[in-house]
Parts: sequence; C-alpha cells; structure tokens
Amino acid sequence: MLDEIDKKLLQHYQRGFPILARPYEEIGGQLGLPENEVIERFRRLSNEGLISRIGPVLNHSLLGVSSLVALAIPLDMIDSVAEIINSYEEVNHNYLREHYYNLWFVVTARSAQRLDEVIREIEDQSGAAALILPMEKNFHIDLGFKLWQSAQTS
Amino acid sequence: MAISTDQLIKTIQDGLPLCPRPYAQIAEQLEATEQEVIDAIADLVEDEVIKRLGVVVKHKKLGYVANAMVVWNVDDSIVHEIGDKLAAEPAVTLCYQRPRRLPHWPYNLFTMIHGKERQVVFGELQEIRQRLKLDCDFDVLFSSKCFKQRGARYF
Repeated sequence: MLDEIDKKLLQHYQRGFPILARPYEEIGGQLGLPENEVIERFRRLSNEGLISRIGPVLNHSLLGVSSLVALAIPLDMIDSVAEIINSYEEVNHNYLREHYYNLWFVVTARSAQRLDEVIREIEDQSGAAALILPMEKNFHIDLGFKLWQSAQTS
Repeated sequence: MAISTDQLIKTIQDGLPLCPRPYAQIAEQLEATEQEVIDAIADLVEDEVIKRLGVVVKHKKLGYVANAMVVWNVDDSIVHEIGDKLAAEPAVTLCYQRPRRLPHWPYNLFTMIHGKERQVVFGELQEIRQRLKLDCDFDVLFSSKCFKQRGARYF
C-alpha cells in the first residue's frame, strides 16, 4: 500500500527534480525525511513497477524526427506484427487499440531518412499500409501525470 | 571541458542512478566534474531539450487502466483555438495536431484521457464536449494492450 509520503514522491517530483549535488537530500529536506529513506522509497516504488525511471522526458522535436504510425492488422496476426515493430530500437511506444486501425506506435529516429526507412520496412514485413501521422503542433505543456487530488494540492 | 550533449543524453535517458550523488556518478562515466554535469543538465532543461526532469510513473500500474486516445475532426480555421482549450482541460494529458489522411483518416486533433475506469473517461469526455460546445466528429480509441512503453532513445 502507498502511504502519503509515497504519494508525494510520485506526484510532486514528476518535474523540477532537484539539479544539485544531493537531490535526494534536498527532497528529504522538503518532506522531513532522511536522504537514505528517500532513496530507499524510490527504489521500492521502482521495484514494484510503479516508476519507470527518474530522468528526463525529452523533446522529440528538438532532438530527432518522430511520428505516430497506425496499421490495420488482422487480430490473429497482431502478436507477430507487434513483435516485428518492437524489434526496432526506434520504436518507443506500441499499443493495441480498439479500432479498424488497431496497432499504434511511435517511431523516433535521428534523421528523416531513417524514420522513413523504419516505417517502410515495417510496412513491407506486415503487408499493411501505414497511416503516418507526425505531430504538427503541440498544444499541451508536459506537467507530468496527475495521480491524486490531495497530493496535488497539499 | 564542455560535455557533449549527445553523450550526456545517452547516459541519462534511461534514468538517473538512485544513489546519494547521482550527478557525480554520471560525471565519472563522462570523465567530467559533478558541477559540469549539473550545469549541462540545467542548460538542457532551460533550453527545453528536456521537457521535464523527474519521476516518470507507470500510470497503468497505479490503476489508470482506461487509456483513451480521443481524436477529433476540427475545422482547420479553429483548430488552434480548440487545441489550446482541450490542452487546458485537466483530464487531457496530451493534445497534438496531426495531418488528416483522407479518405481513411479524417481526424486532425489528438488528445489522451486516462482514467481508472472507462465510464469515468466517457463522463469526462461528455463534460468536455459540453463545456467547449464541441459538436464535431470524434472517435475514442481505448488501448487494450501495451506492447512497448519507454522513453525514446536517440543513441
């Protein structure tokens, strides 16, 4: 079970993680905890699979070229096509969704040429024509994911 | 000595180490000083190469299992206005404009809404449509399986 401190660690430090020599000590100071307890709690939350990492969320549009891609794949072929898609280092998200276009994934590459190449290869191997849907404009500022009203406002 | 941005991102993209002095540990790998790493990361945040630095949660594991991509066919003349309004809705966690691919795909605005149950997501969606007086075509694509989810890798 998560206690109030766990909830604060999960909610309040999604952005603005301290960039100074002892960040966990800084967080401990804010929450009234010793540094080693902050580290141990983050380690436990990570081991329980609630945290994927403490690190940067990068701006794709400044670092590389990326696109959302959708394919319509017969259900009995989904797992094998998903495996092909996942085998690319350039693919970071891949979801099955309930729609005619049912496989949705994000390809991020260092160059437009490599992006095209990956999508082309996936089309060839899956036998499906891809919907290629690059971002044209972002309207949303990434503030992290709001988990609890109480931890958010406290 | 200046730290190479490529090397720094490669070293931190999978996460900071969970130890008392994470930036010193990164500095060791990069043969730089702790202060140089701290300054370089602060610069990347300042320049918005890093959109945010901190905890990346697995929302599904935390009970947010209803993950809906809601797509809208918004008239081009008002897409920026509607995009800003949708992005400001508390329930909306992403809001992007993307190209239509006619005739197969008529939608040009993409939003994500996460909830603990589908009913809650539909409720939020209904309220948003009423509040913003959105009568355009839309569709809701719930995810039923996650095959892969991690941060993008560049190197």
